[in-house]
Order: sequence, then structure tokens, then C-alpha cells
Amino acid sequence: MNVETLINLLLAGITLGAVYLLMAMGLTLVYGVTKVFNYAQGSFFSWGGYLAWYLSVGYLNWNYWIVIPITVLALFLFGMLFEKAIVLPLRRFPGWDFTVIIVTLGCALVLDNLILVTFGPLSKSTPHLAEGTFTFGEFAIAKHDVIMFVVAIAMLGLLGLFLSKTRIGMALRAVSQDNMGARIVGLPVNTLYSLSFGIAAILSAVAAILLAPRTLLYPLVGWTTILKAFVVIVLGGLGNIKGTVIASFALSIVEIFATYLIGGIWGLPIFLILMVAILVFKPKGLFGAW
Amino acid sequence: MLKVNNINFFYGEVQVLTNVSLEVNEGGFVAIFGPNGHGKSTLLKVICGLLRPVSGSVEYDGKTVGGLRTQDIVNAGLVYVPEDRHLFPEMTVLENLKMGAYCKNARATESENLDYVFHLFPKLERLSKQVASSLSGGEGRMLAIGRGLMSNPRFLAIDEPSFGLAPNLRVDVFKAINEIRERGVSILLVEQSTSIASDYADRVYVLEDGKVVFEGDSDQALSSEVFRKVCLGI
Repeated sequence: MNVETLINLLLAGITLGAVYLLMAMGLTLVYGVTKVFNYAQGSFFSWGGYLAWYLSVGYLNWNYWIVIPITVLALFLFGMLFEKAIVLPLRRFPGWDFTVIIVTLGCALVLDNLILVTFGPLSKSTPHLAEGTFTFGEFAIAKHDVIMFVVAIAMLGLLGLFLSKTRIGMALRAVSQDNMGARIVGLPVNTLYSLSFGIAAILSAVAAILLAPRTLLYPLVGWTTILKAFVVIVLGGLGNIKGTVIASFALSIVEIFATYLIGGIWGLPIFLILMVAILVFKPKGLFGAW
Repeated sequence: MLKVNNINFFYGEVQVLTNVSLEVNEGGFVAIFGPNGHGKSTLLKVICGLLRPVSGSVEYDGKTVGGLRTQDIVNAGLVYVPEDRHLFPEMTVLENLKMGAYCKNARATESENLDYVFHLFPKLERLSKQVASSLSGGEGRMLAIGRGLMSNPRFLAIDEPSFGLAPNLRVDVFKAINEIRERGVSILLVEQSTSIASDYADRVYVLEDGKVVFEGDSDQALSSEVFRKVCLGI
């Protein structure tokens, strides 16, 4: 392997890592605020991708720059509604924290099969956000990849600003740090629960729009991404932002190298093998104060 | 201003509160005494809508609290200050205070309330950029009370304000509470130790085994046999 290949692979890995990070942050945010691990978030990803495809190249042929905000907004509303209609009502029952695992898992199956029924099993492709490549001497990187990286990092930056600077963002952090404290000061906790799902759905939709031109869309595409995001969270430490960032870049670089060296189907198995291997030695994750 | 009628509350099978009734007048300072684990904190949580009683009702300002959402209760000025603080540990002191001013009725007066909190507890101003988890017990207690003040309360229900504090800090905390009361905020607090609180309270209840066993003005309390037996052990 020469230096050019090495650098190209690293760049590809970092780009992919930024997108996994979007998914992982969605899971982390929802878990922090609501204490729910939302298995249906992978299906939010799939539906985001399929909706963008349907509105653009799939059927309606709308301008992609209009399709993107519509998709993101639609998924935001869907995420909010999902929490209100499905997760919130469970909270009244004893043992809901276990029930909700099964329920979100079941919803994921339903949502994925709805895709299969509606759009069929054949994989689809959404447009690249830019055609062509940037070349610097020996190095070449697709313009779409640069956009992927920039947009993903910008989204995370915006999320960080939202959580630290706005009143409602601070309220989300407050609920995740002390739920009872949040109710004592009169935060609208139910609204904040569904807002966290809405934000996770936005992150999933953006991740899908960025990633779909690379991986294609198929009915179970969400599972691949959510499993990878799950591994990222386990290794980074649930709720540990710094650990999650490092884990997602590290894992995606490993994935890219594995794909290059031993073949594409090894991406996900490598993730899971790494997870098991690391958990054997560091049960709390790489940086783990779980 | 606040009327509690025949509250019954259970944790599972265990009855924690039995037919508890009490009343706090506008501008009043009422203390509930009683040994640890006899339902005092539970009573405050029921009053502030954080727990639902099995039967009985809480009337605040002529309206029933039961069935209201906690944010509406805080918005109406009925604010709980917890004993175990329930601060937001990774947020700064200032951010914690800002969260206290989240409800609608508190936003307009947020900066005045902040000035007042810093006037009452100057130490909090110096610590305003530190995260809450780094505070000492006394500082945390001040922050919990200050955060309650940010909600623009007309009624503060304070859970064990002096618990776990050094004697000189206890006096400071009670002085601050009394100053808050002099601004027209009604105070209901629960305490195990009667020593300081009974100097400030104008009315006293004693809760034993979840039942009110004594009620009266605080100057009558010391001469009451029940009060002395339950609270002072003599």
C-alpha cells in the first residue's frame, strides 16, 4: 500500500466516521433525555433516505435542494410524533423501561417492512450532493465526500451550540442530568422527551442523505447504520461525548481499511468483532465511566 | 393560600401519610417537624404535585393542584426546594439558576431575580461559572434555594433546609429564608431539628408516623407535651 492509498483511505474513514457520529449522537441524546435506547432510529435513517429518494429521483423529480429541507422537516415531525404516540404512553406502566426496548424494536421491524412493501426490495440511489472530485497532485477526494464531512461536522457543531446556548437546549441537558430536578423547576419534560426524538430523527435524515449515495438504500439499510452507531456508543461510553467522537472515527477508519484489504462485506462483522474483543478486556468501553 | 385536606399516600402497601390536613396563610411561615422517615418530605412532594396522593386534595390559591402538570404548578408560583437538591450536576451555577427561570411567569423578571439571589447568597455569584457537582453541601443548598427563587415563587416548600449543614451555615440559611419570607413569599418547610426553625416559624405542625399529632402556634409548641415528646424526646 502506497502513501497515496493510505491517505485516501484515511480520508474516506474520517468522512464515514463523521456520519456515524451523527447517528451515535442521536442515540446518545435520546438516551440521555428519555432513558430510552431507540432501536427504531435506524428506521428513521431508512425512511429519511427513502423519502428523499421518492421526492427526487424516485418519483416526483423535485429539485434536490428543496427535497432536503422537506425530508429533514418531515423526519423531525415524525420523530416527535413517534415519541408522543408510542413511547410516552408506555411510561405509565411499571417496568416500562424494559417494555420500551421491545416496542421500539418492534416498530423498527414494522417501519422497515413498510419500506419493503412500499418501495420493493431493490436498492435505490439518491443523488450525490456534488459531482466530481477535488485533486491535489496524487490525492483525489470526491466532492460529495468533502460535503459529507463538512455537513456532518457542521450539524454536530450546531447541535453543540443549541445544547449549550439556547434555553431549550439547556433544558434538554437539564432533563438528562436530573429528571426529578427538571420537573421540580417546571421544565416541560414531556415536550423535551419528544423534542429529543425529533432532533435524533433530523440527525438520522441528514446522515441518510449524506450516506445513501455511498451505500445505496435497501429496506434494512437502517440496521447496518444503527448497529455501527451502537458499537460506537458502547466503545465510546454511553453519554461520553469525547469517547463517542474518538470511537466513531477510529471504528470507521478500521472499517475502511478492512473493506479495502479484505472486502466490503467485512465492514459490519469487523465492528462487532471489535466490540466483543474490546468489551472482553474493557467492559466499560474504551474510555469507560459508564 | 394553601390548604391540604385529608391526604393519604402509600408507597406500595405502606401507608406513609394518613389524613394529613394543614393550612398556610398568605405570607405565613409554617414548619413541619417530626423524626426522619415519618412522611415529611413525601408530604411536600404531594403538595407540589410531584407525587399523586391516593386520596385527599391540595388547594393552592383556591385551585386544586391535583391533575395539574408540574410546569403549571411551578408557573403558578408553588415551588419545591428539594432536600437532596436535585441540581443539574454538569451545568454551571449560573445555568442551574437559569433553568429555575424556565417557566413563563419567571422569564420577565429573570435578571432581577438573579440579582436578588446573588444579593442573598453572594457566594453563588463568585461560583457562578463552576459546575454544580463541585459545590460543597452548603453551597449546593444555597443553589437549590436560589434556583427555587428564580421561578418567581409566591410559595416555597423547602425540604430540610439545614440538614447536614454546619451550625453556622444553618443560621445563615434560615436568615436567608426569613428574608425571602419578608418579601412576601409564603414558606412551608420541614425539618428534623426544631432548634432554629421554631424561632422563625409562626405556626408548627408535628408529623409522627404519617399523622399530624400536633398543630399550633410556635410559641405554644414548647409547652405542649406531644411536641416535646416527639421532637425533643423529653
